[in-house]
Amino acid sequence: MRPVYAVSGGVSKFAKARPDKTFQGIVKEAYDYAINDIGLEFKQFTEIVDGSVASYFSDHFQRQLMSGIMAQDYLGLCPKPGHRVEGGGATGGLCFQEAWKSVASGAMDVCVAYGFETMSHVETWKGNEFIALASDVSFDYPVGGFYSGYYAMMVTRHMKEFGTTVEQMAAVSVKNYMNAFSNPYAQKHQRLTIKDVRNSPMVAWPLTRLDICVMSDGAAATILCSEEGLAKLEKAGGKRLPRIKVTGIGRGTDAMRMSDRPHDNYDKFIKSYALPHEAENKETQAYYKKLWAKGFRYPGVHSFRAGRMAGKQAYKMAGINDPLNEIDFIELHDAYTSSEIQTYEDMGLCRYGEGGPFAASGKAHMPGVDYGVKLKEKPICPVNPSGGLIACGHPVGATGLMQAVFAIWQLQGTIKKHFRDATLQIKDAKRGAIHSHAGTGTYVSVSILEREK
Amino acid sequence: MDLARNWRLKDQRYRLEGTICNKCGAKFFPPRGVCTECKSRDLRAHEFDGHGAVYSFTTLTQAPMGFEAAVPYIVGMIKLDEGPMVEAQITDVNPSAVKIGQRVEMVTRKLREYGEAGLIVYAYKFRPIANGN
Ligand SMILES: [Zn+2]
Repeated sequence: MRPVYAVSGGVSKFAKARPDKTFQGIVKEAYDYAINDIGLEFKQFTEIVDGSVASYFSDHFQRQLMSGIMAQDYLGLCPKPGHRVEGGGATGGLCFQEAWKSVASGAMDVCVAYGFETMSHVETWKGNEFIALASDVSFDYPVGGFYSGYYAMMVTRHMKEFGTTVEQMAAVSVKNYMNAFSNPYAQKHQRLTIKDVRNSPMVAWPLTRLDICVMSDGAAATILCSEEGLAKLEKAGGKRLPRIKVTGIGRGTDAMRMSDRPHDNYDKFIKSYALPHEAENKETQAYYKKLWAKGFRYPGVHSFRAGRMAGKQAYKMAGINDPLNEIDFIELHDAYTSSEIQTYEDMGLCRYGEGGPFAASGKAHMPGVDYGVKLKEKPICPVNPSGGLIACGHPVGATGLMQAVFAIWQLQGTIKKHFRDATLQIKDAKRGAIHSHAGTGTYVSVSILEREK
Repeated sequence: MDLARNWRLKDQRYRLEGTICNKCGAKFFPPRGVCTECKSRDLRAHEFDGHGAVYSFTTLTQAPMGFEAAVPYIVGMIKLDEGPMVEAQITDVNPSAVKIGQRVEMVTRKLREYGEAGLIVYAYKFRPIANGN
């Protein structure tokens, strides 16, 4: 496999509804932005690009099968190769990795990954039903279940196992909303307090409306290339492009029904799931032994085995041993405040059980941003500096690619240029991670991006 | 499609019928044709006795289509004494009284009415066992 660079990206305006354009038009906004940013004319880029991967979750929202080929045509990419990727909420993250594979394998020198979702084209209740169809329609959906209910049951168990509190969950929302305040692409621009989150309408106890991301219309695109592809783009544009390299990819899966998840013992956890820095640390071993002695089993529904596997593989490939201290920021899939907390643990930023206190500690906050809350610790690895899904929005097929675009800009040091505001630029960011997550943790992908010296 | 699905699932919904592995004794709900424990394909039907305990739960105050009238209602994950876990509504109890670990038993109740044909779906729910903790 050969080195792959993420040279550019674009994100459309995320909004509750984009009645002004068709899905193809919204994709083109993001695609045009990515091309402009490397200093190429549309025609020049079209001549160089080898093909694409399209990312969208649902056929129901736009009531159109084969939407991908319509976007491909609209972007002027026919007859170049292309295909669609679908994996629930992780569709965008999987698409990014498929484009990576196209380049890494030698099949393409320049590949564009684009994604979209236009969820406003149906009523909210209908949208909720379409999303609920991504759970077992024979056994889980018919009993009155839907996604907020599934995540509520997960966090209820997390609270029981570890003592996680609703205030710790709300701290995630306060953080992500405050970050999004300086991100012009975000759907929500609002300052929140812990009280605001808890006082907003209850959806499924303990999750309130402000613990949950919103449905959106939006699109995102990234351009990936090989060294040869980079040379072609630089020659055409007449300028050197920043080197942001994809240094690790990982994926994991788990059963559709949360009820079918394993409840494994300590030895199985250490052997199959522990990260190297956990498995080798005596104190951490003792910590976990104590958890198991109290009746904890892994992963149950409080943890995402797929997320752990994805992180573990990506870290191994990128040579990361201590994720909290070796990754400068993470854009992760915070569809719920609770799932951000669960994901801290899966990605090894803290140990299983420590996600709640970690959320409120300040370690995952941005330096130099006033959150209006007292934080005990200094920022170490900001999580969702963009505002995440909770405040940016979650146009499913675009979401994972939006994370990639924000990560590329962070590593390029170009946040000020793209956001017209430097507040969210992490100084001297060298390595970032993006995390894309489907269903109740069914497909998860983690990719690592690094700035090359 | 819904009519056929509801008919096909009647043994599960009315009688909590799953499968048991003839080789290693592992039990499954919903039914599986391959044992996840020993990979045997030799399984037979098994009717669960419907006793278990609450593993986790939530109270839904906003509902998906067809369940609006039921709000607020409780959905839980029930760990059956015989092994498998199943998602189901918890009934005959005040939401504030539900606890993880609480003993429950299966009952058959109306789940919902829907569609132009007014299809009425019956299925399992679980209710607390008196004095069961
Ligand atoms: Zn068996």
